[in-house]
Amino acid sequence: MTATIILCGDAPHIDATEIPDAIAVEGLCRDPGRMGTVDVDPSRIVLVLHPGSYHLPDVQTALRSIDVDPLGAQIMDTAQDDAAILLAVALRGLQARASAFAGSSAEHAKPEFPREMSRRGFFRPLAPAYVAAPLLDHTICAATNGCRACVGLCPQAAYRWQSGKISYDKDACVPCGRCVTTCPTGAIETPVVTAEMIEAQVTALVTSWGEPIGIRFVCSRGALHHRPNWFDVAVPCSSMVPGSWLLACLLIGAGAATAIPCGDAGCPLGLDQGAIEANDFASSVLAGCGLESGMVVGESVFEPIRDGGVDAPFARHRAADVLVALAALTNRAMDLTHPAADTGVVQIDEFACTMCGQCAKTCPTHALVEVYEGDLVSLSFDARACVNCTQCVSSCPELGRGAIAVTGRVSVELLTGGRRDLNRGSVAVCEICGKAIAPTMMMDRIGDILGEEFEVTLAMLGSRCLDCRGRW
Amino acid sequence: MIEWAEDSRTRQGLYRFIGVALRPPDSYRLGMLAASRYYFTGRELDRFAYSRAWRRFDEHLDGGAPLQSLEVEYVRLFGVGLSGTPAMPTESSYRVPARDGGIADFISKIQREYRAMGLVSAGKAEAPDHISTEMEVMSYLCGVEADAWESGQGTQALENLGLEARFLERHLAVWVPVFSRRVRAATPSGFYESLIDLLHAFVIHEADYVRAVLRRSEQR
Repeated sequence: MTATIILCGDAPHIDATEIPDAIAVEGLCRDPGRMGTVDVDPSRIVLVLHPGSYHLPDVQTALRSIDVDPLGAQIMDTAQDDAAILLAVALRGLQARASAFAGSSAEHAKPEFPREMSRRGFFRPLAPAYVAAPLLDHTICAATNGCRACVGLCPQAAYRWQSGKISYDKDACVPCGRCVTTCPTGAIETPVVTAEMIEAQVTALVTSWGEPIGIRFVCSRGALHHRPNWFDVAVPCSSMVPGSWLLACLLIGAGAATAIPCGDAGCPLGLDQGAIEANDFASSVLAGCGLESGMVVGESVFEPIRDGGVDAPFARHRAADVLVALAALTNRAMDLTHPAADTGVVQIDEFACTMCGQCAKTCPTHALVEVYEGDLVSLSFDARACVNCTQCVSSCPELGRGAIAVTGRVSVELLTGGRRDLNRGSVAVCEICGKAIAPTMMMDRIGDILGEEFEVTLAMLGSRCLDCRGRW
Repeated sequence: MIEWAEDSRTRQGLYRFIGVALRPPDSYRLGMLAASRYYFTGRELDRFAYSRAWRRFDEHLDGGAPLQSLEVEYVRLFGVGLSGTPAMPTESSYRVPARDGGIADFISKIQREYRAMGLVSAGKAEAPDHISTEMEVMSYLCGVEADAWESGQGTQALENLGLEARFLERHLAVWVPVFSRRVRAATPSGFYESLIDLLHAFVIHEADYVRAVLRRSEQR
């Protein structure tokens, strides 16, 4: 469904011939209720308004009155000095993004009262403005296995882990969206930034401008500044943009892509480093592939390196596909380490590891898996599934002995090499029923801790399973 | 303060309206619902995120669902049948295990909460933890809040908002999402599906909205 573009007809800054399907409504900023007079099916909408001339709660109220979900409507502020042709292309991007909106639920809407009342607000009932808050799907959240990736990264401490469950404090949430792109299982989502919406917008921008363009991921709190060959894509916070999104833009056909930190004033949440690290990681990957690293950190727009081979490149867990596709394009056996890498590699110290399997149990993406086969146990790892969340490290009981480490690393060989064993060992089996009891290395470690005086106990633990111990 | 009072009256009305709709249907209640929906006309519900759910339910009321089919559907969804109940409309069903007298303890606890608010069960009402009873309690709290705003007692109104926030956090906001999910699974469309959508959207919004009002009052 293609979104309808409605623009404020007062002092229009857009040449209607550039957007023939746009509908101009006189006085839309002053009275957003006038959009109700538009005779179209307005289930998806892009609004073009004049900054400072409208009151967001009024616009959202008007949208609801014509049965439009305000969280899905794209609002574009136009300034007098914006070139009409730039706005026209930017609008095509927003139109595609609005069209890809999949709807929101009651939990997504977070009401906020503006600190300052507008003059009109004195004469009308109070209305809150709504922002989109993330929503956690407990059915796919890996917290029960110990994952707490969202807890560690939330700048507002909105997430808490307790007894295998994540609690989310909507009041504390800003919301910056970092949890959405970082959650290893995709349990956290926001309706305003989905992989489909970003892909739709970037694709529309790339195809609407006649020449190669650069994409700038910018914080939606600030103003957008489209300029020739450069177009802005607004996200709740540019620190939520993973490096692979920048590379995905290049695969789609952009000539440059970068995440923009909040500038001189700095990020009000103190998250600027996230955007800087994403740019740096993407730049390292490009260099590793023998491509121009300036495509993600410079001011220039380059000839696109388009490759349509990756399906849904902004989707979760597609980072590895994007990286492999880039390496394949240039035929490079890329292998680099970077702390902000979207993929990781787990290393196991086979002498310190007891094969207890806690890391595999915690791993939210099943990159680490523990496999029992007869009286053998192995810990296997698939680099393609690893998202460098480091949850396995925090869960390891032998961390103090250096049993496990994760490095942010992009190794084409590992990414394409499939699953491999990181550690193997034998399993103590029950002498009565033959059932596996525990890895021998784990029993040895328990023996080390307990000491000689518990030798009998240990012998019992290591020779009979839980069910058969009563027969001792 | 008058604008806050208006909001509180609207919320009071909506709690009661949805609560009545969730009681067993009869011709009196249906007539009451049909008549009282006009109370909300002009109250600018479009200001709030639940307004689209409200509009959908309002359309169902407009269509005038036949009483007999509603009775059958109500019993199918919320009544105790041989094959169990798709979605029990009582909080204890979702919060405590049925064994070991857990439900009785839970109901005693919630009744103590009501008594602390000055409320006692009026015999003919549904169970104390029934969705319609809890909605009625919230309606009462909103009414007290509106009275306070109207008489210029802002501090008392805010204290009452605190009570509302706590009741929502402890009860409705906890179990209504699960209850709604079960009803939706059992009835993919129709009167009760749109009613449950409205209940869900309204309760979730209320939990956020009341906190937002309290936050705003702290900032001023």
